[in-house]
Amino acid sequence: MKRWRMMIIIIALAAVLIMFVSALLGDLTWWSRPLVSRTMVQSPHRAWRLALVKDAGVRVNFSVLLAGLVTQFMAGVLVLYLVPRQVHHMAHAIAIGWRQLLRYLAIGILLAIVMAVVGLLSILALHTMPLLIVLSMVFFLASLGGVVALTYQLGRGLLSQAGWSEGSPLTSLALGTTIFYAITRIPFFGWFALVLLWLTGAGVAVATRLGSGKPWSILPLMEDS
Amino acid sequence: MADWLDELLEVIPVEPYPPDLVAQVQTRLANSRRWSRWARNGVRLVMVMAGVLGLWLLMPKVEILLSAVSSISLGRLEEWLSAVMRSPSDALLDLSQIAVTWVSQLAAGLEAELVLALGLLAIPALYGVISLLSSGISQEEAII
Repeated sequence: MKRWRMMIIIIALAAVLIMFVSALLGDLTWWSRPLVSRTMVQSPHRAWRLALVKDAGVRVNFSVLLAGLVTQFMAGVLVLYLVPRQVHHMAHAIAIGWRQLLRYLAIGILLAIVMAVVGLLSILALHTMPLLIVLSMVFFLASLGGVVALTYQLGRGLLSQAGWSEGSPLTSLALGTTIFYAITRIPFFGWFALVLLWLTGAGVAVATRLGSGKPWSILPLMEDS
Repeated sequence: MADWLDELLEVIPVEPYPPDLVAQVQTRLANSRRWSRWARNGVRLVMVMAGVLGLWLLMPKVEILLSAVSSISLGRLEEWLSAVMRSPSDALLDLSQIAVTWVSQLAAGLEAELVLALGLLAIPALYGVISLLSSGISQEEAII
């Protein structure tokens, strides 16, 4: 348990470090700024520090980083409060194992293909034209719900290993959000991770029938006949 | 009082079970299972072939789809948001015009070959989704 607690602290610190470095290296203009005065040339480290603090690009990066993190967390909080039962079902479906997660990813990828194709083909007929927008919205909302469940379950899983599971679900969400957000900030790999995360989220939401926990079935219609 | 079922049982001729009844049932069950396995594998093969054919047909046409998507940019979105701040009704009208133009451009670009490719791609994808969704539930509850 003590090992897990140490691990969580290390993971959280690593996540913060990744975010800090990504914001710092997102814009390298401060690094190439000429050292104007003689004193600055004599102490380049101080000059670079000053340049770093004064650089507008770096400031923007940090602002965007903070805004993104807070927005993602707040969206998660909103989903948790709006549909707690559904998030609970989705989180339990995720907790089964890695093979299930791969299954959800496969569902998400195939579903994205189906929705894209149906959306594209729907524009050929006048009465199905709004389907493109409707399907995009549905896919986005389903993915959002799934991503929140994934984030919450990651945080909850880690905290329960460390014996801190008695805390608020918001703590689990905060930890999961910090880790996932840091992963998505890694240059080049971040976009790939983000796409995988959202596709898996969509897969989880659809596999659990938008968190209802009921199976997809047309049995009631078969009973009619 | 004799039940109607008792009367019926008296009428039914009593015949001995054929000696190979169990073997016959087992053979029929094995045949049925083999047939359904063959059918499932056949459907999977057809789906994979349809998917590959769809991708093969789609590859040369990707440019048309990308050119339609490229018209939506962050700059245009920013322009539209600032227009919303100025006058929401005008911005909404503009958006509907842009949407109609974009959709008509895309529809004009959708050739028969492309539509066929998209259809060929969608069917195996949908089959995959259904298979994956119904793999976790019992046969009675299955989607198909």
